[in-house]
Amino acid sequence: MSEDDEDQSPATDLRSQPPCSPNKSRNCISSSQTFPDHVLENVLENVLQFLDSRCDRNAASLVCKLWWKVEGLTRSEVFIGNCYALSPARLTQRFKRVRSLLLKGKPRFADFNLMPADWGANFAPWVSTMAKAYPWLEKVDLKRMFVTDDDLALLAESFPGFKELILVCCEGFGTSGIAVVANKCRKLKVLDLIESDVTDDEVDWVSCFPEDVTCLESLAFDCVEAPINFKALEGLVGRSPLLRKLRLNRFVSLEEVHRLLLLGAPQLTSLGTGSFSRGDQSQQEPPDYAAAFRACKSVVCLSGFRELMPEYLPAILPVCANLTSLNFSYANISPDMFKPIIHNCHKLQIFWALDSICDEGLQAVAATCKELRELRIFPFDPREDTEGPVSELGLQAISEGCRKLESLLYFCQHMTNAALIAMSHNCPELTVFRLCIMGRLRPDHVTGKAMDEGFGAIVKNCKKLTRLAVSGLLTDQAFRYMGEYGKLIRTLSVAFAGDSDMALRHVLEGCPRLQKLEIRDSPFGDVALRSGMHRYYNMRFVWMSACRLTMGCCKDVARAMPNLVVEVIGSDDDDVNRDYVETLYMYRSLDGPRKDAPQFVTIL
Amino acid sequence: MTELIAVGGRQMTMHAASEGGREPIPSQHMDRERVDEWLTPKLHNWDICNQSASLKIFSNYIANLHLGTSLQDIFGFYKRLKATELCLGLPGGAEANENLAKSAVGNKRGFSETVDLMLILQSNKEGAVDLNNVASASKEKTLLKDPAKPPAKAQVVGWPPVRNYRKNIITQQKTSGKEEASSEKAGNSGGGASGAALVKVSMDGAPYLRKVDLKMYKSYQDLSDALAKMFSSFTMGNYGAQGMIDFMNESKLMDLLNSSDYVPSYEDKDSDWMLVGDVPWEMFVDSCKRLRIMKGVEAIGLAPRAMEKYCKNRS
Repeated sequence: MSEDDEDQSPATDLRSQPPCSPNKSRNCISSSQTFPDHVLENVLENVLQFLDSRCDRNAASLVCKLWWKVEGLTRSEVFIGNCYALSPARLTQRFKRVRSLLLKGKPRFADFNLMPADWGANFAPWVSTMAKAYPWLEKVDLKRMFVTDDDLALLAESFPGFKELILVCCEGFGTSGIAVVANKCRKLKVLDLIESDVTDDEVDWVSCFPEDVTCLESLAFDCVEAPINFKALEGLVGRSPLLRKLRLNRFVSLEEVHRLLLLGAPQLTSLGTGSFSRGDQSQQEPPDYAAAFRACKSVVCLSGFRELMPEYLPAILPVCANLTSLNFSYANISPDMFKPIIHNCHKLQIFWALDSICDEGLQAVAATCKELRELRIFPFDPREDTEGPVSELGLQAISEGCRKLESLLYFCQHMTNAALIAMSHNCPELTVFRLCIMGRLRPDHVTGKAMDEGFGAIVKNCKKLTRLAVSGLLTDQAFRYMGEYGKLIRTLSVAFAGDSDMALRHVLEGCPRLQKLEIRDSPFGDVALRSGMHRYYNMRFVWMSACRLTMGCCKDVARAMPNLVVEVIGSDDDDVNRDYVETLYMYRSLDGPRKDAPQFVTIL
Repeated sequence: MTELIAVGGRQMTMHAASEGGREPIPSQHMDRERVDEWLTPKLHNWDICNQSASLKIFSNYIANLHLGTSLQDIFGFYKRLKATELCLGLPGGAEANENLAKSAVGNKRGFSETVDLMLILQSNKEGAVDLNNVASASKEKTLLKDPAKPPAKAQVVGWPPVRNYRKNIITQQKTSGKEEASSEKAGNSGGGASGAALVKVSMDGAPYLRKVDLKMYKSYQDLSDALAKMFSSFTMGNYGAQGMIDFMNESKLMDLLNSSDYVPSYEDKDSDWMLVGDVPWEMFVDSCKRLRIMKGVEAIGLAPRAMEKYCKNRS
């Protein structure tokens, strides 16, 4: 049974609704079998309402048909990890009173151009079905979905009580869609656009918010690549007394941030600072930015810095001591600029940055941020052959200084097994470990050996590890370790690794909790694919691109597993070589293959 | 059975096309000798100096032969053919073909000598050639079993795994301080691969295709360097200071085109094959659909005005 999917594995009979005749339940005089049911239902409803966790609800729904039905009536938050795992109709049939939907679309590797555009993951069928079924819908949270302006318009019109719209890594819409939502959703509390591709339709969406006091609590538009009407924004902030989170885009200058902060600083808990550079250079005396930040007594989360002018960075010093989350990942800061800032951030738990802070900067983090839980270091220059300002030295320092580390994403050019082994011992709380050694197939640059022992130590010693991404030169041995020790691993990302089918077999046979498997450019073929057939119904998806799969084998798998949708995605050209499988993307589905597959997708 | 047909990228005249006459048109299921028989005399008649012909005509011609292939396919086959004979050592007279190919290269000006016209029929039990697999298998072999030799560091699609969104923002910061670098920001056309200008790069003789993102480079020189690294075992011609082929300097161009060095050519929006370097960089990024790195001699047909003069001088 999966932990986080709303629907069970197809083994559970979800296709047929349990017989539910309203007449029977109302007729209290009828046989003794229905009377307890009726009471039981009511009791159950009242009890199950308190169940929040998906896990618990999934478990409860398996008890018996009655529980299944009542749980379906009382679940208000639905999580769908793969939008093609079921149809919208099935959702509305099973769950009657949904108020909040979290829906995920494309697989993650689509972010890296490994999938042609227009693959799918359209929000349209979902919004149109829910418009009729859930007029009380309040919250929609989408990740990697294709959302059009029409979808947003329909959403705004159909759900009068709509409160929260969160779009993460989505695309297909523009500022006109945002304008409709801003205008029509009068109860809107949250409008978060995060790393989405928003077209500039040259619509002044900020002015579209209603004129009176708003309910806005969170407004994030840092990914919108379009200038905004600052006066309107000022007005909006002024009439949004509940606003706690404000993330501005790079078209908001430092002076404008200054003005906004003077308006509404004390309530803000999260601030995205926009460009963090001066728009109007003609002014002789810059305003006292530090004073504005001093007014931010409640800010615990700081981001932005899109076009940082480093001489103004010290303005944020007043808030550093309170910060629990700091995102410098768009700011090219040198260690010298960085160290004075970080020395004050004792409470920091989440820290994102570019590798321009160098190993030296990481050492400063390790020295100060003892509460650090999550660290992400992105490359300023994401190419394979550059020098690389961070290395195993930075990682070693972090592992020694930040013992509570739970989540790591680290891009570097060079790494050693020793550093990974050290981290595995020093940071036992690690649940997410994603290391990207940018040069493909790079061994330990000190010993020249493969990175097997390092990753092996991570899976062995970090007993809580649920997510792993590997890189560097890896042989089958690394995968043997993963299969042997990675008992809690749910997500695994592999690229340019392994020697043979055995590697994948180790993982498929050894990792019982594996849900999401994404592999690219690795020598795994048909034998490996077949070895996992007992697993695929229990996984959310498997992605394999540029491996050694043949069409014949994929067809066999598709034939043997009718509830598995096996998509073969060709590249966008006319390669005649039909036996080679460029990309395989397969996932379980309760409603069979999708109808909206584009031409380059072949569903076997 | 799958046929692989290889032809050099040559201009043809309609004259050659009409010569087809009533002969049976080769189909994909014909055997090698017959197709060979049919095609060879036609190619000998092509006039490489005829400037009015273009590769478009050639591709129409081939399409009309009901071979079911496009020009791209032919180049693709040609590339794979080179791979099979030179790099993978597949059975079927690989050495003989290799010698033939090598001798054909870079020696003579005449078209008939330099056209590599070869047909190889590949068969395997599943009825299709798994060349990509074989190619990548051999690539894997050289990469993994031979740690002494470092893998060719090319810009691979989607690696390192940094999202376009982030890449674009950083690129913006690198190239311009304050100006809105609108040509480099994430493509705001609503959907689609945001901002990347991905094109395939094939090189004659290389066993696999690469994809590059043209937006990652700022000039022809950058691109040239990257391509050189990508296919580092082959030599690249010199470009001159700005990385652009100096069309004005005909003798330099002639040297380049007559050498065994490689020049890149590209397929533009109109599906014409042109020499890289003839338009400003931004225009090139916008119009380039595909890159092919071919030997200098084979690119002769792509440099119109200069070639005209050259041919005149020769004859």
